[in-house]
Amino acid sequence: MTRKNIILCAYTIVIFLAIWLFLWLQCPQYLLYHERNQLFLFTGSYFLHTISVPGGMADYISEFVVQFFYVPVYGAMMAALVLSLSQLFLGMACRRGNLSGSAFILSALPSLIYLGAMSDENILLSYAVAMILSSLFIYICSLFKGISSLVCTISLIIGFAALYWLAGPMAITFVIAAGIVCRRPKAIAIGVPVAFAFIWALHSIFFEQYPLSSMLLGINYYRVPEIHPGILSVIAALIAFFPIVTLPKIRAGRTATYFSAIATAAFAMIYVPASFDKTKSDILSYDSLVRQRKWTDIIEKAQNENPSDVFSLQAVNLALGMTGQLPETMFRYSQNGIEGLIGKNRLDNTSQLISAEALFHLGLTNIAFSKTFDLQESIMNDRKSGRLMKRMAECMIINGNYKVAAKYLGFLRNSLFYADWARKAETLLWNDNAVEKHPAYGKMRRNAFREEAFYDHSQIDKILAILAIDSGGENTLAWQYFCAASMLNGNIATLAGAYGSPSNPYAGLPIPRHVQEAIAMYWTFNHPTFEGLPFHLKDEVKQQTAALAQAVMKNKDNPASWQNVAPGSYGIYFLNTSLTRQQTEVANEYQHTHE
Amino acid sequence: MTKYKILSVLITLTLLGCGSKPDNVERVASLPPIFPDYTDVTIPAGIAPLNFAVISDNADVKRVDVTVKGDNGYEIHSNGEYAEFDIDEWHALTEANKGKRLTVSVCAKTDGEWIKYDDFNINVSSWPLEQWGLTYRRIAPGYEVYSKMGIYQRDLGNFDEFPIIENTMTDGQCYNCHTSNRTDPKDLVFHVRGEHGATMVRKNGACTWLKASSEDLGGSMVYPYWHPSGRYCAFSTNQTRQGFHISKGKRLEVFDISSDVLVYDTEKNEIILDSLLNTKAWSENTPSFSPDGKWLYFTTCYQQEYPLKHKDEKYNLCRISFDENTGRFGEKVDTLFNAVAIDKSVTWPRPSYDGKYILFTLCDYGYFSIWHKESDQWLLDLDTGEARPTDEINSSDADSFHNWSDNSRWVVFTSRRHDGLYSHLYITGIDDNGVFSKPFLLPQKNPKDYYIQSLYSFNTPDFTKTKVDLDSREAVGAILSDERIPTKVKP
Repeated sequence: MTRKNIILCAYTIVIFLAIWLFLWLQCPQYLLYHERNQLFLFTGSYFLHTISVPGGMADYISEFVVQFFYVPVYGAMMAALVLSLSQLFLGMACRRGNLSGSAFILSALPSLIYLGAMSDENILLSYAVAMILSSLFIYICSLFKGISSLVCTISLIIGFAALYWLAGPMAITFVIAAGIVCRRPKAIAIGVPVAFAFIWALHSIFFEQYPLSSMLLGINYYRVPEIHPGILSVIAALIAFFPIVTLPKIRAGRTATYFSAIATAAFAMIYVPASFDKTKSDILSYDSLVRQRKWTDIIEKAQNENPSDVFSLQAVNLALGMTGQLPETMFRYSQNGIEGLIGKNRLDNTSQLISAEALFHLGLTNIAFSKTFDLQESIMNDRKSGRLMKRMAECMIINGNYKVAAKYLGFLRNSLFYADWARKAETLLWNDNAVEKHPAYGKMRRNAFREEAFYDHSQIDKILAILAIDSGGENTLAWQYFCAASMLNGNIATLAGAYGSPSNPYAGLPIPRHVQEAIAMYWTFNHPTFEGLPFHLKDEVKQQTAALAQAVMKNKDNPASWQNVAPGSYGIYFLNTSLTRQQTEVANEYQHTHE
Repeated sequence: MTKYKILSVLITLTLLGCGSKPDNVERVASLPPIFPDYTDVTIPAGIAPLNFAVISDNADVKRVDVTVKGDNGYEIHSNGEYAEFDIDEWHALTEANKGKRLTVSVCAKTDGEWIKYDDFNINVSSWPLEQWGLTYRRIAPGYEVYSKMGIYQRDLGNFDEFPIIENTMTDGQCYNCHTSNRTDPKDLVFHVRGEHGATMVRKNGACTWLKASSEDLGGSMVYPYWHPSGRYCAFSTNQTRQGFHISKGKRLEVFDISSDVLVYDTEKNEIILDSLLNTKAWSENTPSFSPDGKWLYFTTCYQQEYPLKHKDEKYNLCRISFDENTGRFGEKVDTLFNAVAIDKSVTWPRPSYDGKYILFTLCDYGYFSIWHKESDQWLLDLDTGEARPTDEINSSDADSFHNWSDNSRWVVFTSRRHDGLYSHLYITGIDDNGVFSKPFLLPQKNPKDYYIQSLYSFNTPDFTKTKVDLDSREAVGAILSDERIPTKVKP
């Protein structure tokens, strides 16, 4: 190997390492998002089904790789390998065309642009695999540089047909790029129209079920059908015309090589990180933490930066609930009504995820199943999800619908990362004793909602109360959620009543901090002092509530002045939301009780 | 040359070894545990082969060896991972044994040992099917979202399935309620739901795209049924709502906040309304015409307060006369089956085309029976007026939507008997005494893999006399164009 070749290989290795580290350390949540929107199966029928469309082989390879995203360190490595191979083949193809070192460095641009484009979580790795396949074909063609125009044209057309089936419409880049590498413009002039005619014919004869636009721009490059982001066309154009740099007239010298290296590095360091939107990254990050049940990590994240959207807030509230501190600390974070606890139905593949998680942990398995089922159906490219199917199987095991559970476990058994779990779960099928003894499922089965009723999001606090109380005190998460829902809805009277009820199995437990604040405030509405209060509240809570009441009295038209009197307390949340929602009604009532 | 001979002998020996014929067979005195359960079913000649797998809970079945002999002679054989029969041989066997029995001998190899089970029979009906195939919608049994779905047709003589229209063609629209006229797809109707909503009415091959809903109707045109003349098509106008059960055992409830029945005159593009079918206090639903076109059957229930009193939503089966010449209804409604009296609810009345019966589904309440585990098929004898549960085809899970073959000798229906969630299609024959044969699951080339790996439900099945030749590209163009013809109410 020559010194130059060693340097070029080292360059590819640097690209690989940079992408690997970036994806692993900066974007694991994106990797997990991709992984949860597919389920790769080691079955013949899955293979045949996947490769039965143009670009199917790229899809198959992509989905094989994406399954490793389950473990981000490996997944990032695999994705980095895909992108660096794409660079290597393109660079090598151009090198065959007397490419200078500077152009080899620039051959990383398509991969780097793709890396930035990964900030759109619905751009699929199929596209990157199609980039490799196309670059590989271009490289293979470059090995036969001296061929005639006729042979070149025939090769391009045959190569296109094969590549179109393997990689989809990215194959058009091969026709153009290979034609440039071989210096055969006539082959391009004939090959490109033939390629489009081929696609049109294929569509008319075999693939009428897809719009022509998808046949031309990719059936499965993007998760949402019939959407084709412009950035993908930019990458394709770059690959197609990149070999222009091999044309003798524009070959550059050593200065250009250094300039190319600096420009590529600068591009990678500025463009790629800037492409990733923080809000979206946070949402995906919260989801991945919930998925991994890293409850303390979620709370730490929220402590560093208050969650700014409902989805993240649901994750934080779930984490607080799972660690037993929801009604104790939830108002330290910016709450957003009942939506921040459990969301209303939204028909996409993400919005309901945390709600479905919460409903499952709460023991509302029927509703968790319905939401999870719909989440899986919301994966727009008709893929299934290992994560969601696992949850559906769990719900069915808990509910005793073993046949349906067996069906889902049968799928998961043919996967890589869910197979062990599926085999263990299969031992629970038709084995009620084992389910009842299971530490999680047994509790959920025991504490299931037994009354026949429809799920009504507007009545969630009542549902939670029934769920919690019917469990005889075992379902503490449901009780925490009930307390939280009551406070968020402003149903303090109900909450106080529940704590005062002798039949409430949770009444004997210490009253959580925020519930104390709520009760204290409720009492303050109707009483001038805390004397006679039938609950044991901390003095600090009473003092804080009294101070808040006084502050409101003094500056009722200046809400900003109360905020620091009882920061992170229920009282502040209640007053702020009341002000927003009910305008002056609550303030008037407060004043009236203190006259 | 000797080298090649030795090689040939080795290859032959190897192949013989791989063939794995039953030897040292141990007999077991029980029927083979096969999926699908085709023991003692009755099939029409010419149906696709009843391929099946042997499933053992205790051991992996590596190989099966199956012989099928007809009473009238002819024998076919299969040896492989599952019983898979050659289509032509199967057709010849069933044709040669119309009205006779096929005897199926099954050997299975588990843990290296061959087991021979008791033989079982498949009856070949003397009644032909006389249908090209089936049409059905395939969709995941979801709640509010669906991914890929479409209306498909299946050649019943083999395993070929063809899409009639799929939502991948039109940006995720939903298609439902496809209905042909007495299994003849020259007259066809289906609905498109969503952004590009429409009701497609095809008459003698020409498509009309009607506006999906109308204020005059008080809703959309739902659950169609053709008048035998092909001029009229009846619909209900269900304004549906859904409820999701919290507790296990039940999942979903569909109910109407209002519904009427109407008839669409395809010649005049007019909606025919009638005060007896458009009552405020009652919900009229699931219409169907008698085969002579003189009666319109429908179900009706007292409008309840939903969702609070959804369990009180119980439908009776009624009829009203219809004059196809004037397009007018009669002046009285007859109750044919009083389900309310037995605290039940009728849905999906489908008269047999020979005019003898009405097959309907009975459930505890409501009409969306596929989500009701207790749903069963019932048969009303129109001569005697007596109705009975068809226990011979019912299961412990939901048995729901159904349709008759053109010769009224076969019925296709949906059932969740396999796993309680995913609906599959079953076909059954009816004899001269109105008794159904044991239903058989729609055959597939590799049924175990197909049904176990399918995450779809089959619904609204119907027979089709010929292959549906809808020009899907033209249909997609029409759907996306949003050009719709408004209907007008007959004065």
